[in-house]
Amino acid sequence: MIGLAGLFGTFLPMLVTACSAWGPVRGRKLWTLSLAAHLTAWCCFALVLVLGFFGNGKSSAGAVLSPMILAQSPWSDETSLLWTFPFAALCLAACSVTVSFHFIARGVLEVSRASVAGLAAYLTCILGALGSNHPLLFSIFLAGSLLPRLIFMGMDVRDGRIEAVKETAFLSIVALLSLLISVLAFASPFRDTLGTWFMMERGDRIVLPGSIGISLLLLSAAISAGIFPFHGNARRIFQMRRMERAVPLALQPIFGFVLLFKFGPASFPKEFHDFSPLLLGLFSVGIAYSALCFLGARSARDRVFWLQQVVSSFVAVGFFSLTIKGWHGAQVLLFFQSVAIPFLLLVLACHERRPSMLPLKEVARYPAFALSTALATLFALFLPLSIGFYGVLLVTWSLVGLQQWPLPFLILSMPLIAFAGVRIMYFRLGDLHPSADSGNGGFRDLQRDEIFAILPIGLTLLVLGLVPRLLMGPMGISVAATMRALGFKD
Amino acid sequence: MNILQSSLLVYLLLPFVAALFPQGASAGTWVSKGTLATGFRVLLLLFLGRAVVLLSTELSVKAVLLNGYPLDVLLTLDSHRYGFLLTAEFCFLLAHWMAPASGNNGGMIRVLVSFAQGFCSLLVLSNNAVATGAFLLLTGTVFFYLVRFSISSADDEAGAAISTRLHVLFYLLGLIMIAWGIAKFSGTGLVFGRNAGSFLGLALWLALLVLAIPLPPWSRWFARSMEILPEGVSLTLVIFLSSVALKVTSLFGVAYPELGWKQKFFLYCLGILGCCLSLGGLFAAETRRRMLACVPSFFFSIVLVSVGVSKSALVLSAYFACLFIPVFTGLILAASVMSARSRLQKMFLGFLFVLVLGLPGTPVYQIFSGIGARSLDLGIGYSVVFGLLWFFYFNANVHMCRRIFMDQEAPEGGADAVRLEGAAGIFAGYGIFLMVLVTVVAQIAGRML
Repeated sequence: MIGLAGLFGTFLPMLVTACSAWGPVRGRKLWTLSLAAHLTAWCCFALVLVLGFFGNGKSSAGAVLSPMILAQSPWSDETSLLWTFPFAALCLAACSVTVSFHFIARGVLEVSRASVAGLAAYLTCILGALGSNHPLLFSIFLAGSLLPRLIFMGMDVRDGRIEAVKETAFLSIVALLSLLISVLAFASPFRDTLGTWFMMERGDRIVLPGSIGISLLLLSAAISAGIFPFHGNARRIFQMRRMERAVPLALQPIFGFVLLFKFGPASFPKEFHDFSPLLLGLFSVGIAYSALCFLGARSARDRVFWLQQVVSSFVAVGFFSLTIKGWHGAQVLLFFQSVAIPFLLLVLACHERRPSMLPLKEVARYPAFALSTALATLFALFLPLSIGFYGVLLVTWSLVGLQQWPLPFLILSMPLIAFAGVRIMYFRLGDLHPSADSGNGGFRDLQRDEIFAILPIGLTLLVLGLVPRLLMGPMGISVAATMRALGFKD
Repeated sequence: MNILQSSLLVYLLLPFVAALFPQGASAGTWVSKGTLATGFRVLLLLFLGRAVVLLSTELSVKAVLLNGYPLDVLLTLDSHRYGFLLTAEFCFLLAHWMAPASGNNGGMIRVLVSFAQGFCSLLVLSNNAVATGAFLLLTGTVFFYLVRFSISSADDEAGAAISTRLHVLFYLLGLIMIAWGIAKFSGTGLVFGRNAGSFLGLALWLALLVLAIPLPPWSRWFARSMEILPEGVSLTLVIFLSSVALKVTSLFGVAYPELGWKQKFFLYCLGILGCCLSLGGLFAAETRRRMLACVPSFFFSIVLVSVGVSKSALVLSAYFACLFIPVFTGLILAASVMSARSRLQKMFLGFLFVLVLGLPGTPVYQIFSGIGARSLDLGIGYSVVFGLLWFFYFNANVHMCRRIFMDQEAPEGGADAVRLEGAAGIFAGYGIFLMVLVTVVAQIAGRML
């Protein structure tokens, strides 16, 4: 029953894609249908979380399995959708973001059927990737996400942006190919079947070294997540004309990190153990580099982009620490990133719709706007009222006594974030510009749609920050069970 | 949870609850939700006083943030902290009264003062390194906005610089506190306690102490903030800085009771340098307003001197200094906008003169007598420096009192000087009460601790 809810929630948005292509339903009706479908998907995953992990004394260490088998032996292992607590929580986060997107981009979605179809298909691919229990199934969803991404970026074509679409397409195909080679050559059952391809005449086999497999997997994950040092293309998302279009695309890092968390150490335990110190160093440098760029960023969009890179690098550091504490912190940060970065983009979109930044003196006149901006500050600085604080704390803590040398990079990057964070506190000094004050087209508080888009996820993050054990408790149990199953200890 | 713990919890949450309720447009300066909450907090503290002070009971409240990790918020009230909090609450009441009136962001400023008040008590009571660091991180943002909301357009640039400095300072303090906790108290669940020390831990604590004290010459921001910010905001800032100084110095007694002489000498030298520069600044100040930051700076530097000459785990002189700084700042801010006309005002100024000069029985006397006694123990060098320090402090006070009480130039204040001067009689009466209070608290603390 619970697995069925997850399965239903995953594929329900595809119904919207079909309706968009069909034709008769369009405009406001299509928007309403899409919103209803996304809300239902959200409810399904809320059900999975509540009944699957919190209800009936069920343990957070377990998993919810979908009843539908998507592929069977001998062609593949029994492939289906399977949700552990952290991934079910991420599903809920992804649904929340797309629901918020419906409100912030209502105008776009009511006139563009392609956008509605793209959004729904993209969500299905994300949810599918989060539920996949086999890398081949994951590859299918990763491949499926390419087209919606291109639609989203391509719809916003302006001078030179078509180059961005081409670049994205090229990189995504590289990522997909790397992953496919890695899966077909190293994942069971293909490893045994396709191993005969390399059989020599006398029966000797050429066994591909695991280092090739892990390299391909890491390449695929890094490109998919768009993280340092493959962050160039991810930046394109933040350069679109309409900021709100970037909101669903900010969920893109989920693909890369889910690939790592689900299939990385499980497929290449020895290689991950050997390579992790090097990668830990690389991403520690990545944190310091991203923090420096965050400090030096000139526009608000760039600041959000570099903040995303900082968080992604922290997730990577937590992951490569290969400790329970590090993984716990990384999973928390991945959830935080999946909600907080879209939240920052939503706030930024609202800012860009106004003629000028809100001056401090006018804050009391525009309370909803001021509250959303203050919340953005709270999240951008990893302050203790957001779960980002606990994620960063656990990741850094995991390195104490384990790998001390990356610590200076992490510690030095935090003051840089503090300095840079001052400029993300969007209120400006001085008076309201005369043209922006009152009257038609002047400065205005958040409108109803903007409030529906921003405040629910902002307040959700705030509540999770105030009561972190609500999310982090079950997540910790689940992560510990996973790590122990993989043979890692704290 | 018994009634005492419930009262402590209510005491801690009140400012946040008060900040969340909307302020009515008709709310006046004297009776606002902030002042009401502070009054109620004082009553709760007085209620808790019997158990904490007379029966020497330690009251604790604990909140579990996350199972499996030592990230609990552990708050403990003992007699040491009680004395500071009681004095601080009365100072916060003064800060609420001095805060800008409604309009021109007055409402927001009052909300932020309430937040600062709430975090101040949480910081003083917290016993867990991560929780303490977290409160410092949050306070950085509170003061960032508090300063930004407070500054007038003419001081935009200076105010922006101060707010940024405050935000980064508290952020760094928070980070260092957390790092220190992880480096030193990992084995004891991040709860402050006696533990095997490492060089890294000691270095972090020294950094924490030096950063926590607004020490000349790198505390120009502090002097500037006293000059341009409204009186209520300046006072809030000073109260909070005192609580940070108290926290860090009290941790000295917990974590490093046997600090090496080299580290102590380093702190002592820094403290003496800060004292000299503060007094120099006081003599060189062109306006009354510019003088205001010099004496709090001097007493903050005295905190380092106290730790530098300390022998016992509890640095009493530093405790008295932290107790006295907020009261003194409140009084001097009130005096700076006052023309001594009425009898009450003249009485207030006379009492203030007695208090700051350091006659026997006053907190200033207790501060200097503690440092003096230890200086005598440490040898002739320390004794000579101490003698000179007291001499110059005495002279500086005479100079300051002459400027404030006897100069013919008009009183000068911050943005709200005119409004405050209108209520000078009330402030004078309250100031006399504060002076008596701090003297009584210091006397009781001197006997108990």
